[in-house]
Amino acid sequence: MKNNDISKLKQNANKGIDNIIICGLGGQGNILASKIIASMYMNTGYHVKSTETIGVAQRGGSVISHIRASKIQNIASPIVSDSCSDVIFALDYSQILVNNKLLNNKTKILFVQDTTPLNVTKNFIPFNALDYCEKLNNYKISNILLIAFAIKNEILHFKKEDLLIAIENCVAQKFLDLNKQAVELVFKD
Amino acid sequence: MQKLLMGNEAIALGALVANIDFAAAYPGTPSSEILETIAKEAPKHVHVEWSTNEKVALEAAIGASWAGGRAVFCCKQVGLNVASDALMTLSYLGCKGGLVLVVCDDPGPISSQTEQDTRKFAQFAKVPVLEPSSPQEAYIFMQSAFELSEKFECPVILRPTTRICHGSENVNLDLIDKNACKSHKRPNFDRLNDAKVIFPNVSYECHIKVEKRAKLISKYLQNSSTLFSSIIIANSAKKFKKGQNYKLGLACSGIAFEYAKEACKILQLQIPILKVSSSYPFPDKLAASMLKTCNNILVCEELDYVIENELLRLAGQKQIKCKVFGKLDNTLSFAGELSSEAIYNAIAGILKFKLKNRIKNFDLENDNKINKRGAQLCAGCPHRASFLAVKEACKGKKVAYCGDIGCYTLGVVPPIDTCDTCLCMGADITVAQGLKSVDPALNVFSFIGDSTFFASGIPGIINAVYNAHDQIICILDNSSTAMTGNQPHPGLPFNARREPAHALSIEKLMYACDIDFCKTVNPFDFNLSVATIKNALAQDGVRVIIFKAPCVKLTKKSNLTAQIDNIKCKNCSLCFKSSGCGALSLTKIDEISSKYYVKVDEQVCTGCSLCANYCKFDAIKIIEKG
Repeated sequence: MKNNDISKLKQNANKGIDNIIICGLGGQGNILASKIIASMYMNTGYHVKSTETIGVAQRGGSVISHIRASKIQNIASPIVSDSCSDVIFALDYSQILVNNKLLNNKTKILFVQDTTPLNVTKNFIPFNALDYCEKLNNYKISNILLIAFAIKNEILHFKKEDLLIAIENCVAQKFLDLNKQAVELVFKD
Repeated sequence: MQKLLMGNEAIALGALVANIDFAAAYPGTPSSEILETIAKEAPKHVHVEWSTNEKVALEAAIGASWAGGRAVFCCKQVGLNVASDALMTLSYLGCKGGLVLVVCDDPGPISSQTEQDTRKFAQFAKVPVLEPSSPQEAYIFMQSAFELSEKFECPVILRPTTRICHGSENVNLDLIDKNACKSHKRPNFDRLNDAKVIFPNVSYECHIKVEKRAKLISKYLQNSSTLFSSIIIANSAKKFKKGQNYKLGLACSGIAFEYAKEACKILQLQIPILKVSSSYPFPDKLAASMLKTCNNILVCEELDYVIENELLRLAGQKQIKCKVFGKLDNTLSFAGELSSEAIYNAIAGILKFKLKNRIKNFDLENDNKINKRGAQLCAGCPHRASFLAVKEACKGKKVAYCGDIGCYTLGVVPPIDTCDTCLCMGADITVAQGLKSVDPALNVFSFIGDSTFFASGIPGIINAVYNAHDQIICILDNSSTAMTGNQPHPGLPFNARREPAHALSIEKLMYACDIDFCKTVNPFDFNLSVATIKNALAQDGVRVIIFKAPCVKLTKKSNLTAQIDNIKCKNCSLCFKSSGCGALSLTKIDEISSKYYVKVDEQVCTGCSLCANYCKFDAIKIIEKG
């Protein structure tokens, strides 16, 4: 083998593929967030594969979803290779550290900011979900808020409408209004 | 039409396209969403049920098939252990209507007791097994499985793994096998032609038939459909040809096939990959041609070394010179999930090239390493209340806490620490009987959930009464099969379709078992709970306490919360160190100071007041959220 630099080989293999990670603790809405992002990819012409943590870890343990999508090729493994994530969403800051091995120097790291003080590099993009949660009087909506924030800031390359359609497809009827309201609130600011 | 589907949803829709008449299952990760989806989507005439346990579910499904209906049974891998008695004889007697057993394996394991491999069960019972490698394939295989089952009048196991069950992709719903979906005859059980009776002299004949059947199915799978086992060339549109020579080939099944393709893509290798879609019956002809063209074969499979064993057998039988790498020679790990990383590293080892990693790992300042956080009981969980009451009542006594499978296994997590044994469904009751019989100084406690009680607790309780065991059985009745996603069970007034159902009373069942000491308490009434347990401890024989309070996931959001009086509070932390409640934490007052205070997360606190029992300074009040 001529080129045996594994990180370069991985970069080549992942050309044209979006690798997204959502991490957090069980109960924060990780699975729904994953469904919505995967749905947006499918609806805009991508082949997408994702995998989620369902089971005992949902009781407050570390959970992680992988989403891989491409327009030009079929995805094989649903799992993002070590150091190959393009974007990581952290619904809990501590879980970025748990999943350190998935990051590289270009990975965009979006996280729901809590009271933890941070001095971090430019890759880190904090998002203050709490203000919006208070306005919506719901504290379980950070997942949707974070996705809306990522789209607004062009970290995920979708339109607001793509997100609203995905929400229609994935969210239970009785929570539809709340979810749509959350999206509008983020885009209004 | 394309749809984003989770593997389990794809399997359910596959079953519905195959026009099933009957579906039965017992919940268990990673299989539960299959029956949930069928219950939601199936037309009215389809009978859908959460059965009492897996054995019951499979036997009922067999009945449906023997009457000529198409039936599907679903469970997790350990569920098949429970149903195995039925499975072994079913294989001999065969079926009439298509019968598919969806058994979901859990490499890792992510949410299971064992890393057992259902492919071994298929070999053991001599029942064909299909192994999809993606949700799309699971959808297609489901229909092929029914076709196969009816053609050979034998049950078929569909064996996905967690990454298929809980993985999603765009599934094309039009990719179906039209033959498999052909509507079947109206179910009709005819005594003259349909009798199915096992008896020793019948068994001998059946055994011969079953071996012959396997050979016929193997031939059928290799000749008929392109869906089944195949050889591809990685990173190439070229077709595999006999007579060529490759230094290395890969052999895999299920999700490992996707990992193998990924590894070849990363290493830019154009090598043959044997995809085994049915480990039993094994595709001998195809595998032999693979062995003949490769000097080395790396077997990439999760759980057991099934394909590896088969290749080694074939190489010996046919005297083919090929070195087989895999788990048996420690090239790949025996336990845990496989990954594309593990595969490309193994390939590099076999082909003797070194992989370098020039890019440094991403550097996070200060605190680099954190371990995964484990699961814990939810804030407001009634199990916590029950466990803490038992602990309080047992202070200073020699005890053994026998746990079981469910959310309440999390009683093992400190500081709750009320789970000394956990074996399998129902064993909390019976293991306690053995412990106490040989160590009479023990006070033995059994903890069993309501769904587990119905599934497999009752025989143990009958045994306790008949054989005069001396034990306290705590039935943690939270009106739900909580761990797997709050499915209903026979104690609830609704069924899988959310239609009204007859709810059985646990108390009445206990009286029917001649148990004199059977008390029901609300575990959140801490003092009454402790008194009831102390009362039970003072007596002999079989004593049953039903701790009854619904799962916190089923109750309306509480408008109560704990509030800490910061003047009275001395920050001793006893409240959360004793209760282990996630709603409480010790938090810094501000970023600079080194002072801490006890913080209540009002979003998750339900105001259950358990923590207040441990406060020595009367600093915890329960107030309305505001």
